[in-house]
Amino acid sequence: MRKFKILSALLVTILSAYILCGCFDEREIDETAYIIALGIDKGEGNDYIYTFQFSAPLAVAGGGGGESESSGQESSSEKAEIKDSGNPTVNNIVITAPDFYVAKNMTNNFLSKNINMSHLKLIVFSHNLDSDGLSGHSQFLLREREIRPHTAVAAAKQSAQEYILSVNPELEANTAKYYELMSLRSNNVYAPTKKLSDFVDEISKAGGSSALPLASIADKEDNRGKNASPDGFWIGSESAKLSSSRSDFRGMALFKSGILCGTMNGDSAMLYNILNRDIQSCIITLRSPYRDSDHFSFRLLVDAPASYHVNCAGNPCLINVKQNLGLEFLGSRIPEGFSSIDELYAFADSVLETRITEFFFDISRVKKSDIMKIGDSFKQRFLTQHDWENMNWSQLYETADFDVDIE
Amino acid sequence: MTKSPTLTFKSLDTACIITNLLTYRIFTRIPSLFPRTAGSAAAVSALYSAIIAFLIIWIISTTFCRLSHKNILDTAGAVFGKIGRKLIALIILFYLGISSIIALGEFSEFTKLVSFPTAPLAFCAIFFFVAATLGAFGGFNALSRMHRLFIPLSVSVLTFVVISTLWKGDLSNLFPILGRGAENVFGKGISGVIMYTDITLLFLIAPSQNTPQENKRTLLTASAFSFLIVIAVMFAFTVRIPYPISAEGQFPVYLLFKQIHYGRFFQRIDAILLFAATLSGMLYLSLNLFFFTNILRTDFGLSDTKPVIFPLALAFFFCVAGVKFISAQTLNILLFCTGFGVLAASLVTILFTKVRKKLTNEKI
Repeated sequence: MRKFKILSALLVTILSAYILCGCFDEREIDETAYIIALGIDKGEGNDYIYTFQFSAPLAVAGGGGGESESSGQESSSEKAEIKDSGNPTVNNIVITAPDFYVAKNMTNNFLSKNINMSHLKLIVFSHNLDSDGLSGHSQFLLREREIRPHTAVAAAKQSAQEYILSVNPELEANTAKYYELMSLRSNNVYAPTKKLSDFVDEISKAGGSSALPLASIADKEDNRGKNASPDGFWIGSESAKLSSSRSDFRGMALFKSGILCGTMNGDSAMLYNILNRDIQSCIITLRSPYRDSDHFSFRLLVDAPASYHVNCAGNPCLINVKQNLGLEFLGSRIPEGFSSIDELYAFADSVLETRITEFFFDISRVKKSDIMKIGDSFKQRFLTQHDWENMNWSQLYETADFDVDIE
Repeated sequence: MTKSPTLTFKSLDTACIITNLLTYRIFTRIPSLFPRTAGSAAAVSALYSAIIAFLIIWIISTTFCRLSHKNILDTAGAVFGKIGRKLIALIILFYLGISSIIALGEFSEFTKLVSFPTAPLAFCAIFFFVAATLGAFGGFNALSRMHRLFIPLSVSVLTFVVISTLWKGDLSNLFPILGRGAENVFGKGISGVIMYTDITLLFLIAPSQNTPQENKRTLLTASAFSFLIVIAVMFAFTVRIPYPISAEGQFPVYLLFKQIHYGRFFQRIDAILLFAATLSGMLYLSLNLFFFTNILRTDFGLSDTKPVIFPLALAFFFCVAGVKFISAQTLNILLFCTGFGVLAASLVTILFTKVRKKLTNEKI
């Protein structure tokens, strides 16, 4: 018995040492190349164009990118291309292939390091990607062991490749961190934030809709910066333009069943964020009804996400939207033409109500996508999936009227 | 010669054994059958099968806990004679064998998925094989102490995952409340009882004669607690991962763990899951192997169990990592058939015992 105990103890010790040192799946950090961003575009025929952006850690640390295998060079073969984006902290490789794994394996044709996706921060889908391409790619990327469900997802306004190659962050040496802060921080009011898991959850449902932030290159946006036609009393963000060719996140792309239904500008994205309470506060600027040159601003405090009540007794259905908002006037005196602060708040209230009603009509009647998940609250009235599918929510939603009530 | 295990059901060890037997399958693929059959009503289906399983356990325990120094096989022998006893022992052996192969395969795949993606399956299976062999060699007392030590940890990890995922869950994922229809939730949902069939292992232990009421109370309380854990995990899973994504998941609890994100520094908590899952799997396999050899000894004339443990574990190992002569689908069908067979055999034995005692006016 004593011998058995000694033997067992020895065996456990040896095994523990073997397990704890974990040599079977060893990964040397200097033998690994980390993908930080991935772009997926539609290629010719059944092909896709994959843009892999690798981090160059030595360049991030100020070492000048010494370990980079491809820095500063631009070479091309029939299916794979190394692109120099001018950002020294990354290396970009563009591969055209019928499948993601074929493309990933192809990177090993000219990269000696092992490819690792555990630091992937952003996946950019091209706006022209087909339904199978979008849902197929997003689903298998979510199942991929190395990729985290919290990886950010975006839709490119131009092409995913163009966007990724244009990224050259300001005030940030680490491009991976830039992506993380840009795409998942909550203070970017003009674009929604979307995680891979949420996106897959939303588009996998029957008729499921989702909104992705729109990743674009500022100077390729022709309609930005021009004095857009007056939009009532609302002063929109579209009149603002970056002076240089920066990549940015502004606006949102709407998807239904994996197909792009349309895009919306930064102001609509801000309303989306407010109604979902993805932002807790923001500032809006309104034009005075009494004098065009007079602008005044309000701080908007979002206490809770909007609540919805669907009434299908009549035809069309009526959807009541209730949103609690805190308004704070950012001025020292009451603007000209208003007799009291209450009148000013009532005016802001009415502008907001009109704007939100327009937003709902736009997403339901024009874009035909339930990105606010109103159907989820209506679904609770049905006993089975079959009953719910028979109700044909999409049709009801696309013809519904909206009654917005801001408190 | 190994002594037959006897237990006082009031002990913490027993509660831990019961908890592991009823919850270890959370770490395997089996919980994905709930969303597959019931859709958005996966939690309702889990609750339904837990109620059925609890009723079965309650019926068995009312009589079983009064039978001093008699396990389910002794009782079957008394009711159905020698052949009946051998037949039930064979069904249990068959179930233990199938269940061991499936559990060893699933836990090895789980470990491979979480931690050793490039390692062969055999490499992961070897850890479970060694642990199960050592555990079975250690005997029942050592195993029950190990349960007392590690199962609270495993339960804490599951509680952590439920709390961490629930607060970011979306309750609308629970609707429509009857998911894929009442017949799927309550008809096919009965297959969910397979999650709990391992409780029959507990009936292979003869209860102590002292306090049947306390034995029963321990058994039922630990079972209720385990059901609560399973239902809570399924609830969190349904609320966090909507149907149909939830139906496609291979290892639901792993998918759930991947969702945990406490900022930049606490987002890859899979390592804790691996720790809890391997402990739970190793303890179950050890217990399984121990009872397998113990039945061979008590019912099939084996004089000493120890020489059999290693070859038996090796046979299970080769069934998983060697030549796969039975397909995974066939194995699953066999598991369901034998699982329900074991549960039915235990139930029938207890009911016959009760009827016979009533007819003869004997005090149980």
